[in-house]
Amino acid sequence: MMRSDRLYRAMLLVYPEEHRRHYGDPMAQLFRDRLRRDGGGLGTARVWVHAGFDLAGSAFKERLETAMNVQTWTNRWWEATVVFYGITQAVMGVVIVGNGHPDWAIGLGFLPAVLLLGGLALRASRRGVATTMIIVGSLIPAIAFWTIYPFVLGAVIIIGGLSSGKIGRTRAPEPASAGSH
Amino acid sequence: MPEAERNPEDLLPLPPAQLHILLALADGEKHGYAVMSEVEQMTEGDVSMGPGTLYGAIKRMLNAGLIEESDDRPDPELDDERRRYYRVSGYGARVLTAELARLEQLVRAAEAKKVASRLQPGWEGAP
Repeated sequence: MMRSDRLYRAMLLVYPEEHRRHYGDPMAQLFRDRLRRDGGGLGTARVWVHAGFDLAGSAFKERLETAMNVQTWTNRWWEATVVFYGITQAVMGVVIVGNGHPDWAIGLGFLPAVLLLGGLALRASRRGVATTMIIVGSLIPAIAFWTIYPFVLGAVIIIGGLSSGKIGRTRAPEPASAGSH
Repeated sequence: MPEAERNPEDLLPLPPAQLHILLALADGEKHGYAVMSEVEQMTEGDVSMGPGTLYGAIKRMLNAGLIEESDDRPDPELDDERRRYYRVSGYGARVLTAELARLEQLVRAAEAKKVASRLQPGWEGAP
């Protein structure tokens, strides 16, 4: 029983971390109950086969759901994407200065960097100003360079930010409490 | 949105696992193993939910407000107090009622058309 329990708990690693944290213990408990009721000889094998199919199907579903969850994505990655883009633009400004075009560097590198990072910092106190800064900061490189990279990053920041309430009029909802279930 | 204002039909049709769990909880709060056993008993062993399926459905039902985790714990001498107990919420009860009415209507329509007897093997219109 102990070995089966340990093995089942190890198999729970295929679930997303959050799901495991909330439901790992009751799932292991249910597996033990099942083993206690139906285990012994072929019964144990049947319980394991059933648990294996159940685990494969439900873990896939949970993983897919987590991956498709825009809210989860934006909660974790939106700020990181804005910071990354801001730093990238600042680095680009330095490179442009190095190539002997300090005026372009201010407009195409440092200005978007200041708008993006400044907008991020101002979100709590000046939400409207911050939204404008982030949108303009995302659009400048896309319009100036007219290549796929700034378009994609700009779209991710603007659409992701507005749809999740990270920027714009609506405030982002509080993340679900970890201990609520 | 307040529970009373939520339309139960928004969640219909219910996925089979959620319908089975609501039915199992209809007569009182239960923990995971009791729900699983009750579903097996109700379906004469045709539906056997594993831990992943059961708790995946429970998670979605908690998020949708169909069920609630119960704070009451039974006498520790009678049961393991670490188990989590679930019960049907007010909204869950209304959704269950609406789903059963929908299914009843479907069965009545099938009976009116005598679907079961017409689709017996040998009937020329059978697929």
